[in-house]
Amino acid sequence: MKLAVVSNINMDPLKLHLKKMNAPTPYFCAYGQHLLELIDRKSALYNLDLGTLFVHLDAEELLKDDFFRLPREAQVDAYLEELLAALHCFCGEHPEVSVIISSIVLPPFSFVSYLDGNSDYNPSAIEERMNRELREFTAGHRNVFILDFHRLVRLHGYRAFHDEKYWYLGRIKYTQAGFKTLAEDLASLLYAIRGSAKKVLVLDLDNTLWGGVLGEEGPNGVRLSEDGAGKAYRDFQKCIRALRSVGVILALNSKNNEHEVRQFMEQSTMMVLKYDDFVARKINWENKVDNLNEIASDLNLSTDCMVLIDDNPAERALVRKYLPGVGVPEFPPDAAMLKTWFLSEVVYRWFPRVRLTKEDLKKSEQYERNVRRNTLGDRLNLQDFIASLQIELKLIKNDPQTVTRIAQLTQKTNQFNLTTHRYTDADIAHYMESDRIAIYGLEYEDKFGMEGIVGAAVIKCHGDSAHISDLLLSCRVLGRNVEYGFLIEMLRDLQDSGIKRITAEYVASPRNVIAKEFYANCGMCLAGVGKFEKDTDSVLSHLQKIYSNHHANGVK
Amino acid sequence: MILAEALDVQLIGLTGETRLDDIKNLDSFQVIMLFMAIEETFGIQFTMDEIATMKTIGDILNWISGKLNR
Repeated sequence: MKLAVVSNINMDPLKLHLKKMNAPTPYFCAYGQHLLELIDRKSALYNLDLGTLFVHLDAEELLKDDFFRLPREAQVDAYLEELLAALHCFCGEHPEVSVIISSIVLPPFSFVSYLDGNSDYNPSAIEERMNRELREFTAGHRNVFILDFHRLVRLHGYRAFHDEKYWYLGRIKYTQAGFKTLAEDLASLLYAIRGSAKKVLVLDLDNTLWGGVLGEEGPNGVRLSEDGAGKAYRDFQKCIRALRSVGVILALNSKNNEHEVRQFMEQSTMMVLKYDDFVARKINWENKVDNLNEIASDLNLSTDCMVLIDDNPAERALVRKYLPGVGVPEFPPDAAMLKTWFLSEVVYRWFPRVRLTKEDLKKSEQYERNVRRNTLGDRLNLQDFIASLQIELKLIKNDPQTVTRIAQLTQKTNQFNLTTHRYTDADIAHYMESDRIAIYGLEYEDKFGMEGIVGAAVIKCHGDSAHISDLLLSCRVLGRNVEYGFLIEMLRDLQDSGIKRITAEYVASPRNVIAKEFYANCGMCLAGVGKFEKDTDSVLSHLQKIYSNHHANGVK
Repeated sequence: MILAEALDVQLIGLTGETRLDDIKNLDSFQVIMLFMAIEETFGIQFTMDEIATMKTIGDILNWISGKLNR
């Protein structure tokens, strides 16, 4: 799915930087033609297999000669209104395309210099107004996201970002450093929109979370304090704690003696992170690659969702070589840089997000509970174990408040996912509005706590027949027959609506082999490769026989 | 070589006398990208007027060593 770039300036230099990052080569609309391309249905934009549209307006160029005149309100806003009207038209025709639009940045100069800050002539006031309009536009369009261009210019400074010489020589507006930053930010934002951000942050200890080596210098020798380098490490821990609070799972991978680490972490008054903040801890003398694989298995996740932060270049090289899916950023040589490095190289690069759900906020607790549940499971047999969990399931149908969570599930769930279609918020909202399509969410609670929505399904109806287009369940609740409970509740609801026949399909993917026999296990008949069908009554009675010990609160 | 990296251009048979205008598949936009890459790689700065005088590969090389020796 292609990326198209629309701009009023020449954005070709982006191509080179995107290529270096192994991002796809974008299609560039002829610059200056942006409004036309957005409205004209015969334009390339409408006829490409477009996944994302990036709209970048250079505000200074938008003003043209008005920059040299005192800009009057109506003119400046008129340019923006024109663009938003054209975009609205485009979004209407293509609700499935993600649109990214840069915020407005004016040069930090005014011909009336220090005139009253609230006047119409002040570039900041004009920027504020235009960006507010942009924000209102995104609030009204689910698939539109703002790229904070102002933030990028601030990072470099206007002077380092803009290139006067090459503007006059060849209409290249920004420096290579500017284009590089823009390309990186665009790639991170795309990563976030697609829900591909990493999930787990794995950390080393010595010279990473504190200065010095605990085993060598002892608890009183390591640098972790309110001064100098010690403070830099403390601030670094605060950054990590902040990331944890928005849903990133923490793990430890350190060559140390476990009891020494535990003692230090529990007794030091300067530690910000607690021993229990880490859901998985591999503190031993094994190699770090094996440890990472074990952490992945403990959490029931792939190493591809992990990021490793380690000050040791040899360890970083080892992990990059044997686990290429793990994100391994370079580590700053100076502890003073830790905070800004973490924000730009770790948070924005590997854990970017465009949404935050209430499930996200409780991620660490959920994973911890899961590790506890899995330990419980070892000691009892399966049926007893499931019964002992006292699972309660609740079906939620076509509820707009669940759109974001359900879309997120379709993007992240790989194992128990029968067809692996990825949907955005806009897709799910669109389906909910259709009479023929039902979106089900499954809420899960057991004696350890409430998990929120852990399953989702997309059902397409036609007459008295229903097709299960998507059925998925979070890996956190696998192995408890919840998938059968989910299907039972949905079928009951569909039966009430007059559905007599069910069809379904299984589409193989690299990671969903565990779902292959699901429909067969439900008593459905094979009707082609990966295709199943059966009448609703038969499936229900089959399921009720094999799965008799769940409780459910019916459909909301 | 900076040329190849900056521009994805094939380096075949370029000499000091080769005129920039004569290099196949090298358009004016790419020439700009080339100068930007040279400045960054060598840590030097050209003015607009200096760039305007550079017509051949040899001219560019002379300017680069001039700036570096200063």
